[in-house]
Amino acid sequence: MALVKISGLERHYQMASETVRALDGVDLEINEGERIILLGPSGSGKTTLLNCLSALDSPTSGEYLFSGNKVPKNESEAMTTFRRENIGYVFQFFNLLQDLTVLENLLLIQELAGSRNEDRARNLLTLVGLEGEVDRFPAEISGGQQQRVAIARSLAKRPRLLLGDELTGNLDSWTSSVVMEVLVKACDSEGITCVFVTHDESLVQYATRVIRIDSGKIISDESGGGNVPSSTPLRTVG
Amino acid sequence: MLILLNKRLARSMMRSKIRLVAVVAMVVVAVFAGVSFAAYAHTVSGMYDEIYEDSENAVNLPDLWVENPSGTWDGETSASLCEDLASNWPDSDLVLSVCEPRLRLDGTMFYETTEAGEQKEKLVPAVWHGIGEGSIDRVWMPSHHCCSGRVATEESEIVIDARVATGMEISIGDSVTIGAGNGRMNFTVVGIGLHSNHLYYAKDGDLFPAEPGTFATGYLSSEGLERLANMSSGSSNLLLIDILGTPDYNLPSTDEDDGPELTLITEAMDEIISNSVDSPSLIYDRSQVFSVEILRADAEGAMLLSYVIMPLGIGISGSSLGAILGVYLGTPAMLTFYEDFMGIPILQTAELGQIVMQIVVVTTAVVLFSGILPAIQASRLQPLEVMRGEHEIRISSRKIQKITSRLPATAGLTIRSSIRKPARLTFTFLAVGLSMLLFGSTTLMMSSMEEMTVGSVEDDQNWDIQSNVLSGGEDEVIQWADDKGGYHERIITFPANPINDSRVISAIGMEVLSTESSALIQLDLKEGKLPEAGLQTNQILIDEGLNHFLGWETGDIQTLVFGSTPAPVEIVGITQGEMSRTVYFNRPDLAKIVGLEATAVLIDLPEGIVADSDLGNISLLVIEKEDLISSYESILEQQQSFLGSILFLGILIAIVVLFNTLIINLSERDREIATLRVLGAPMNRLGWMMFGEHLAIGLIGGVLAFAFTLVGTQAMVSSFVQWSFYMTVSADPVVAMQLIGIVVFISVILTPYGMRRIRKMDLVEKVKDLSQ
Ligand SMILES: Nc1ncnc2c1ncn2[C@@H]1O[C@H](COP(=O)(O)OP(=O)(O)OP(=O)(O)O)[C@@H](O)[C@H]1O
Ligand SMILES: [Mg+2]
Repeated sequence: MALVKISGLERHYQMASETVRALDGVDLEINEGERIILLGPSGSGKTTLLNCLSALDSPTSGEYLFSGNKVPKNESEAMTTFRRENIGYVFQFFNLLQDLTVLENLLLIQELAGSRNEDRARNLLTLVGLEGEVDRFPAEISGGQQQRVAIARSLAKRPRLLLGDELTGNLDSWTSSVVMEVLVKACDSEGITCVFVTHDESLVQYATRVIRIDSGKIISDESGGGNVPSSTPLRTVG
Repeated sequence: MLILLNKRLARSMMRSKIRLVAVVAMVVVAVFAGVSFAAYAHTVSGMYDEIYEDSENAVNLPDLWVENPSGTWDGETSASLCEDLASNWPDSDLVLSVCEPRLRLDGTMFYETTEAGEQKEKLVPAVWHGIGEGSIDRVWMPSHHCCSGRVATEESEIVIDARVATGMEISIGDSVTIGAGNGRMNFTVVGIGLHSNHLYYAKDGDLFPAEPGTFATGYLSSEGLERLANMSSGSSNLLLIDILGTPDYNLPSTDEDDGPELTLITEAMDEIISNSVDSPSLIYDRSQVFSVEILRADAEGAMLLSYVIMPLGIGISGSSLGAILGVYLGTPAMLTFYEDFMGIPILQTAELGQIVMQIVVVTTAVVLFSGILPAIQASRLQPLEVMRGEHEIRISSRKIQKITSRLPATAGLTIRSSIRKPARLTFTFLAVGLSMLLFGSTTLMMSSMEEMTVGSVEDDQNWDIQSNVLSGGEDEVIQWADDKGGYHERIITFPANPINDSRVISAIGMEVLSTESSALIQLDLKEGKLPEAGLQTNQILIDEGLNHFLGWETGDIQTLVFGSTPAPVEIVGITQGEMSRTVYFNRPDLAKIVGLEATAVLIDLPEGIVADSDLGNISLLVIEKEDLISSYESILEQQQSFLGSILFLGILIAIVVLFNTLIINLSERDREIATLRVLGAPMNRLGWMMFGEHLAIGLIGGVLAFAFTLVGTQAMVSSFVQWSFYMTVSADPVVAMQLIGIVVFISVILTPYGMRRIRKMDLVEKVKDLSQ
């Protein structure tokens, strides 16, 4: 069964003189273990789609099933619970909590999800190559390192769907390839399904599937350069 | 460019509607309070000069008084004293205009009341004035609904005080029964008026106005009072001296010598008088007029308050609303209260326009300043930015991390993010602490007042009745007390002053000086020991206030002057709890100095026995402890209704400031909270985090608020304590708990608002913000 099943999804913004159709009838199925790159020109609706997937935003119409269940909409607390239980999120600007150490940033997410597991947090940090930085504060490490912490954080509670909007947009190309490789490795080893939005065509190499979108509609959907993951994870952390 | 910036400012202010409302509310409160207090202060401080003037409608207050505290001068002596003064008047710019002998006696008013359906006679302590020619210190009968009728001219006529008329429901034409230590007589009321001695309507030495029906004053013709007291024609115990113009006099609350010329005159008068008569007499000037002092302090206090509150305001838009409220609500309310409380009519209110202008201008200046400053500083037109502490130093996160690393990450986060920016934190605590200043100091003052008045009378005074007598009259009272099976002690109360200092101390001579709770008057000895009687140099106790104002210490030998008789004394201890300046002697020691055995008898009566009219007939006046307590209580009650409105204002300020501060605090954390929310933090989790934080802020802020309040109140009290009124403020645990409780309560009840704010947060937009 598909992890995500979207049909006829629309998201409209009512403006004074017109209606902006940010999403205009999107049909999409995502299977477990897929790693999708979402490409498209500016204003095409990528962020909007991602926000609907994560239940940050509620679609105007259409259906969204997650693991066969209806995803809540227009109901902030239920949507938050859905996010907490299923979604991992990596921001463009990392958004680590400045007052917590690298390790504590991970622990916090686990606590919120109700399952503190320090060993797993440390292993994840080792996986992203930051075992030496666990007790530092975000301000004390580089941007690329912060993004790797953010990735480890998004994985800390073992989400079923990991989302990232321009997550390398703020990094130089060398750093962004380091981050992407870490991300791919981590997702593979955890068997986590991912959707990443980007402008950067070169990231296509990390995807198993590439979806292009324009004017709120999917215009192409093809396999990417990344190797399709085996059905069983290679290694499970924690 | 400028238009765009203004647009930006306008929009960002609109977006934070709540905060805008809070800021405007602050201004409204500030201007409201400012206008009300300032208008009150201006009105009240000016009105007395008008009453005291020498004009058709005013009273012509004397400039100097010569008083005979131990008895009366007969007609011949009175006249010759004035003649001596006139002929020996020193060569000075201050020219003698009038010297008028006058008789003023303590007495009793026999007042019929119906209590529980039963006709009862009450003995009301009173002061009777025999006003002769009345060219000086006249009865004040302004054209105001308080007063009516004419002055007393016949020997059976009386003018009663306006407060008595209302308090006992007496009107012109009624007959009143009064006495002055020599039986009783009936007088016909021909007028209702006020007198300069009793503008502030309190019993002698009392700090608070007397409750209606517990104190009476009346203004008779000289013949009338002589007849009442069975005294010969022309008898007097006061000389009223009027000097051409109004000389400067020294206010007891300042150290400056404002009237050196007047001091020379009083010294000369002292010599003239002590050459003519033996018994000690007191000479004093206007600085001893109780009302002058207390009212001046009162007005100053209000003034101070108006300027302390004002700077709390920021923002221009509230000024007009605040001004309207202040002019139409606050000022009339305060003045009406004053009229009721003091019982003095206010004929004319101060010019309000100027006050309003002044306060609005100051507030506006504060607003502009707080608006421009951050604009320059942060080149951002965000008036509140400067408070939010964007430009921050952070305290070492490492240290706090160590301390909080054992806690769950959520708890650690709460603690760390709230203390990470010390400037913001300091601002928060400061604002929270200061917000309670008005409320806290008012509460603290009220509790100290209560402690000093009701508390001290109830706990430290064990007599039931004090019967004041003329010299020699005590024997009859003692006989009365013995007949009733009561315990009694003689007591002498006599005015004295420090050498070369005209301020009055009341010297009290007691049979038993004791700190035991069973004593008729229990002394609260702060340091030292109780005096021994009969020593070469009399041993005395002084009160805390004397120690404060004169610097007199235990072990000192000082000189007290009784009239013109100096008496060296040794201070062996200091007492506390007295509002006015007091020294305690052993009665025989004081009797030797002043030549009187007693001025009053304190009586502790057996259960069920009360003062009767026999006692009224033989006493000058009778004070019942119950009356004293109930009058204190009713005063406190009255004050409470007034202070209640100040408390309300204080709470309003506290809520607005706390609210504003905590919102700034919250909005500071938007980014963090949005992140947590996107990552799936449930509402109740965030709610608890916020609750914990507000609880901590409330607790620490509350403790600080109490500390500020204590220091502030002590500073305020020490700025208005004065010779005739001294008090200290100590940390009352009940008030402390109350203050902290309120701050905690206010900050905790703001949690739901904070949660609502998070719930309404548009996460899609926030995420967009987060990635920009
Ligand atoms: N809050 C909003 N109100 C009105 N229109 C909006 C709003 N948010 C987005 N839109 C519109 O919806 C469309 C899709 O926006 P979206 O942010 O999804 O684009 P995007 O593909 O993420 O663009 P970019 O690559 O620049 O981030 C755009 O035309 C945008 O103008
Ligand atoms: Mg986008």
